[in-house]
Amino acid sequence: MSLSLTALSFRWKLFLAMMLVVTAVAGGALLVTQQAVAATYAKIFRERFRAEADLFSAAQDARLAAVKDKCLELARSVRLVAAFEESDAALLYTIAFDELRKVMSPDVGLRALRPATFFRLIDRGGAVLPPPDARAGVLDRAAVEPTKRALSTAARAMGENETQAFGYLALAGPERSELHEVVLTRIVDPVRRRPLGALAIGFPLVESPVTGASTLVRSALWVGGELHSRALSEAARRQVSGELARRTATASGEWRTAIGGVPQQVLFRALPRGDGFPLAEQVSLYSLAEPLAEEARLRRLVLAFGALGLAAALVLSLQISRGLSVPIRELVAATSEIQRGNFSIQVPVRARDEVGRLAGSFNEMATGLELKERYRSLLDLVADKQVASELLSGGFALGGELREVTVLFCDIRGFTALTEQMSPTDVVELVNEHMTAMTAIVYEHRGVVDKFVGDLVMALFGAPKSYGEDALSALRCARGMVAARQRLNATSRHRLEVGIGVASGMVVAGRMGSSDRLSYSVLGERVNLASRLCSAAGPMEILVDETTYLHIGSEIGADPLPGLTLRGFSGLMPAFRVRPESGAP
Amino acid sequence: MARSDSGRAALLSGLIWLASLGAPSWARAGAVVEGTVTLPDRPPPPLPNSRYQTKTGAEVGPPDAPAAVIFVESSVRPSRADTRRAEMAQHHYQFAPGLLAIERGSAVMFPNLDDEYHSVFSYSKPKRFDLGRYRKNEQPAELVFDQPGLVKLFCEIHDHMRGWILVLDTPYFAKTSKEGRYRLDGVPAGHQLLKVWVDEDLVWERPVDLVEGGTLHADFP
Repeated sequence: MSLSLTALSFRWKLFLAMMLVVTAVAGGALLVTQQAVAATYAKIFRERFRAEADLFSAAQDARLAAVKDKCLELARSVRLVAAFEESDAALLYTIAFDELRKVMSPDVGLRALRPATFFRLIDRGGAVLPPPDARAGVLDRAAVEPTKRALSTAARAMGENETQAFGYLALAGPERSELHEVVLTRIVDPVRRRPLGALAIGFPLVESPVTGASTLVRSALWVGGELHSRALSEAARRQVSGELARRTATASGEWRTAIGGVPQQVLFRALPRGDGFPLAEQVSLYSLAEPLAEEARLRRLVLAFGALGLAAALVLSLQISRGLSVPIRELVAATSEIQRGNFSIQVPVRARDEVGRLAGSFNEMATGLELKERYRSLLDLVADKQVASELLSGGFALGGELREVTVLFCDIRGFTALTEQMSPTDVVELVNEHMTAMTAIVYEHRGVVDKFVGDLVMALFGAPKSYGEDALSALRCARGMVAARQRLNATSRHRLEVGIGVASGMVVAGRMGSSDRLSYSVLGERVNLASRLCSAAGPMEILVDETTYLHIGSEIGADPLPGLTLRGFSGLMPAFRVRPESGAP
Repeated sequence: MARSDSGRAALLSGLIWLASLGAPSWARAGAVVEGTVTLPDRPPPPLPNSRYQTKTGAEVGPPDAPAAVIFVESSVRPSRADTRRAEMAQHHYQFAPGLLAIERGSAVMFPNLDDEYHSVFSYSKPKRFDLGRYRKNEQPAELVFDQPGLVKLFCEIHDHMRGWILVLDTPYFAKTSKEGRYRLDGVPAGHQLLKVWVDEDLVWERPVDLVEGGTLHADFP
């Protein structure tokens, strides 16, 4: 990872980082939005369901309050008690019908109450007494026996202290089963306090406006393992019914399902019921189409903003990386120029940021380098190259040192007389031609030009750095100088002859001069000796001292001269004349 | 007014008692059965009902104490030309007496001794009737009970009121005192089945051999 990251260009790294940030922000926003939408709708559904449930209960209470009172009144009717005492079913039904006429009659029904479908009297043992005629309500043939059983069960389950129980029954009808609300009232002889039986009255359950077939909310009642709702198809009813059957252990709850491909939130709660009545649940299905659409809309928005952000990130990262990569490319190119020695290169400063500051620093550096290079060139001109580089590198010890050095002096014979008649320009030209050639020879032999004094060249071998066999190098140089001068004489306008003196020995070498002007040079008796030998040398002659002669040995032939009297030296100084090169003209 | 009413009721009760004691001479010829019946406890007061109150604010009296009826079913029947009469009054918002035993064919009157309407009816098979609402001094028609069996009486206005008329197919019967003592005389001698009616659900019976002029002591249960 780190490898691949380091391999990526800055532009890509920046883009990746921005993309990461944009994606993270968009993803976070998406998550938060979705959760917020889901939570809001869940709350709305719960509140709506609670309101529906309350409305259902309130409507039911209002519907049945009068009926319950009527039943209680009937239960206390002395005529009914009297008839129960006689166990006379026909009489019982007649009396009960007289009392319940208003509840049973479709014409003069109580307010907000549909006429009852049936009423039945149940004896002390829980058996339903057969009604003598149709006045007690006729049930579908398929519903007769199940209703009898259900009423018996409910009546037997009633507690001794219970006066009324309520529950739901699904009664088989000609087309479909109809849900009924059933009020069961115990009948007790108030005087002898013994149970006589019970009265059951059943009303068809009206689908309330809430229970309608709205596309958003679909309500249903689940009784005895079957879901009742006109708003749902049979397949949907069966599906929800099956799912609910697994959840009836709790008094209420909710789950998510899909009906006809539309996700639904299903909420349910157990309805109050008497012990003997079948389990009943109020169920509402809330379509999740709207919240899901809202969620999708928000998701699209967030994604669109995310995409916009990504595009902006791309553009920005391009812009920023361009702002970085262009100056860097320029800096890289300029560095190459510097490497090649072009110190006059300058990069444009495009901004005042870090990169701009870097470009500025680079320019200053280049200027500095250029200046240094100029100094260096100047130094090379005014000082020996080797000395200049040693000076620059700080290779010289402060002060001086004692060194074994070979010193060479070379001057032009009869120079003053020769130049008297010449113009200064010609003199300079002559000197420059001569000195250029001589200097080249010195460098060729790894010598150092110490100084020019008029027509004289002073060269050092073994200082500031020894290359070994310095004396031999000096002699070869001297021979080379003679040979070079002879070649020059063949072409030049002026014929010149040089004399050369060479001496070797210990000298003091170092930077010498005033505190503000220094030069590298050597001082010592051997220097003077070389100068004197140079003066003593004839045209095209090379004179060496004894030390040099001993150093060169048999390599270069030299003949001893009779002792020379030299200024500044007491007694005769031994000297040797170097033989001309064999084959030389 | 109330005082004279209660006086009249007492007088009536006394007459009835005398009538039962003053049995005809043929009855004395047989045997006597006497003893004690352990009666059930007085029932608890009825469940309160806020549906009605006595309009005059008069106090509702306690129901008549429980009693049992001892009788011997016999095919031996004295012939009699007159119709026996009995009375089941409504007094202090109770039937008085609470239990009336009569021989089949007897006529019963239902005088209202309270200052309010009563409406006596029965759905019992031996005699199904409904006297409708009537006040004191509005003497409803007397009813003849010609089917044996238990006739349960209710007042439609006062649902706590309960009365029983036990119509027996025999002249040999007696009602216990509230302590449960009874005396039945003039019973034909011979092997007889002695029955004690305590409740519609509780009838004891015991075969007895009665000796002419003798007295048999039988306690129940």
